Amino acid sequence: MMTAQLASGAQHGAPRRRTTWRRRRDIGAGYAFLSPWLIGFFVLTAGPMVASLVLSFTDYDLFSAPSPVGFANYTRLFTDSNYLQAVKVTLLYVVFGAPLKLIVALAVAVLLNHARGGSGFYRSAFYLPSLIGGSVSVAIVWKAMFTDKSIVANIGSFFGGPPAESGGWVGNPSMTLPMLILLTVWQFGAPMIIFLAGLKQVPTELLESASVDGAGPVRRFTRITLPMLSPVLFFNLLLELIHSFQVFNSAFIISNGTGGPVRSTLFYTLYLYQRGFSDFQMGYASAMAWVLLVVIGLVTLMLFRTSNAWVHYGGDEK
Amino acid sequence: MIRKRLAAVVAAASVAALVLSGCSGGGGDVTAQAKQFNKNTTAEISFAWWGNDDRADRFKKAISLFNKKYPNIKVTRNFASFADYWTARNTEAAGRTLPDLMMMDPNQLAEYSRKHLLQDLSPLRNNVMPLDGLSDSALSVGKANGELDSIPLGTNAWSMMYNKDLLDKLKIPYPTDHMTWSELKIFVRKVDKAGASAKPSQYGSSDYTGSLPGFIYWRMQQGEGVFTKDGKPAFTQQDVVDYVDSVKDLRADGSFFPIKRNAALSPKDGFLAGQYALWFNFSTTLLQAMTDSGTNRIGIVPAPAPDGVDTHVLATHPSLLLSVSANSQQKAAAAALLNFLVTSPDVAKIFGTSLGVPETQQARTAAAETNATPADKPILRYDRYVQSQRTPAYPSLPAGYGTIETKWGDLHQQLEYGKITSRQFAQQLFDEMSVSLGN
Repeated sequence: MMTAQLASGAQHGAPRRRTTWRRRRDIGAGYAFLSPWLIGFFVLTAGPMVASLVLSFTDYDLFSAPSPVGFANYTRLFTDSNYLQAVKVTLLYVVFGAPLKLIVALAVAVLLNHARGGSGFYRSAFYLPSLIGGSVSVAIVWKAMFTDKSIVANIGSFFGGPPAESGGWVGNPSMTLPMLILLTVWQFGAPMIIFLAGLKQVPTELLESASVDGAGPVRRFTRITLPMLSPVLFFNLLLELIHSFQVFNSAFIISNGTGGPVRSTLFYTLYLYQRGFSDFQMGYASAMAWVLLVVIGLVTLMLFRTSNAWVHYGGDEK
Repeated sequence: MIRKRLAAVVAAASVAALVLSGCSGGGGDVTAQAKQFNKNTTAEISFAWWGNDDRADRFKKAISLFNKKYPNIKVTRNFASFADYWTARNTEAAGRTLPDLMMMDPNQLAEYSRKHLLQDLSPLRNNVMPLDGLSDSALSVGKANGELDSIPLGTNAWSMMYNKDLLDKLKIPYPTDHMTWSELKIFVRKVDKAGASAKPSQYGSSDYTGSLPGFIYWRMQQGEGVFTKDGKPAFTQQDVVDYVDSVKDLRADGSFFPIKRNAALSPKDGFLAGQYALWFNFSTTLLQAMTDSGTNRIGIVPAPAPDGVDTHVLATHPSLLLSVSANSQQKAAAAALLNFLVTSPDVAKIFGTSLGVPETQQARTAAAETNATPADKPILRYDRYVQSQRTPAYPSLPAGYGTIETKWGDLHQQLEYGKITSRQFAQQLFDEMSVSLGN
């Protein structure tokens, strides 16, 4: 038996070697093409992530060598009133901002799906804020719109609100978060386009037969459109939640990096930035970053787990 | 096997890190550079400062004058706003890639010095950086941890500025040189009353206990210290409470410019927007006040004195400083530029008093003759007044002071919004000081 195998090996050795060599060459070429991304991933993403995990267990001020402190940075989080405020502000933003944005995006997508003329123009017009939404200039304009004696303050005053010269929304700590939520809701263009693509996939014959069976528009939407749209909804929800946890630009610009007034726009990432780059507490900032990563991971996992109950893919029995 | 490989990888990474850190840090041999330096030395240096376009234009002119003297030193210029400037410097400091010459803030000096990021300039004094005309007291403000880590570009002093246009419109006489704190309260209420019918309503002042320098001068007026020699607070929580409560009545009856309006105007300020009359700040900011408020009719007088005291406490304070970074490879060339900017009368002619009142008599005279900015005359007049007063020296600021000053502002905002009491203010300030100053 052994002899036969050896003989067979000897017989087919040359072509197999050629194949193996060719295969290795192909694999090598594949990795060569991948190398820019791989180098970028290991050097710019994975490497710093591992480094920040290590630093989160140290006292590190950027200038001196890090000294180990065990879990002290993590336990300090629970007694730091600014940290707890940052968690509160961020959670409020996530809980209200992301769903509101998706509701508006879906509503506009449904309207555009029924539009007979000019839908291309409206699609572009509604998508535009998403393209420029994260920019510094929009945050500055937003601030100007909601500040003292601004257009929004004047309208509010006209309808019986506080006088236009009382700081506007920017100077009022109870209104700064709604102002930032409005900013993110206004940037509904990207999820709207995805919803619109999903709506185009809903078979019209299903809707028509439901209509023949006497289903009204609300029933058709909740029983046919929404379930068929659920994978798209799931995708959009996941993206928006992750983005909302990481919000930074708008609060940084509007509060001039302070998270004010009175910590009302102190988002998680803004506070992390302050601790890291203003106070040089890199170990503490790293611990904050890892807690955020774990929380986003848990939220994502939870969404995936619950998705079995409410996301319906094509061919599903449910 | 895996362990061995892991160990090899870690070892290789450590060697690479050491090699890289060796390449980026350290800097050149300063004594050798000082000996070899002459007018024909060839070098390329970077110089960074904070400020606006106007300051950038003036530095461009000053550097072209420097290049007439040192034609082979190429200077790369870089500037940003104050906040962006420090974000960039802090990041560079971590990588030991600070610019060769950089503008330094008195609040940050001790921190940067403690972290050994700045070059001790003493070895460069003889051959490269004589600093002719600078007094020992001027040099002493740039000393930290026993080293000469920074040189002041000029001086300023705490002051009270007022908007003449606004007061004229409300028909209220200007504040005088010799007001007391009690008289100031009456003045503020008077402006409030007159400005109530304006659209938007105009006020006498914002809450002037909102900044730490104000507290420092207030302590000095009481004849008390602020920081001990080892950088710890020389005041109690009760002292802080007494200070912020000294205007409790004005705060309670809404006599100050509303914090909501001030927050909405940030990073500008109600004074700069022409909405209240008095502004407490260091005298160098007079030019900024004139530029931002769009009027040159801004007056400057000393901050009020305590009741029954007829002299002011007006200790001068370094306005801006220059430092050579420890990581610089061209320390001598950077020090030559520093020397030129601090001592040259031609530079003073370009900047006037916008970097502070120049440190040397020659430069001060040049600034007075030129009137490069509309703020020069009033600032120089104010400086002469300050010099005529016998006052204690401004305290040395400990490492971590910058964080404390920011914290004071944050907490004061919470106090003004009614979110915390003055006692909580003091408690939280001391909590922060225990971390930042290491009490």
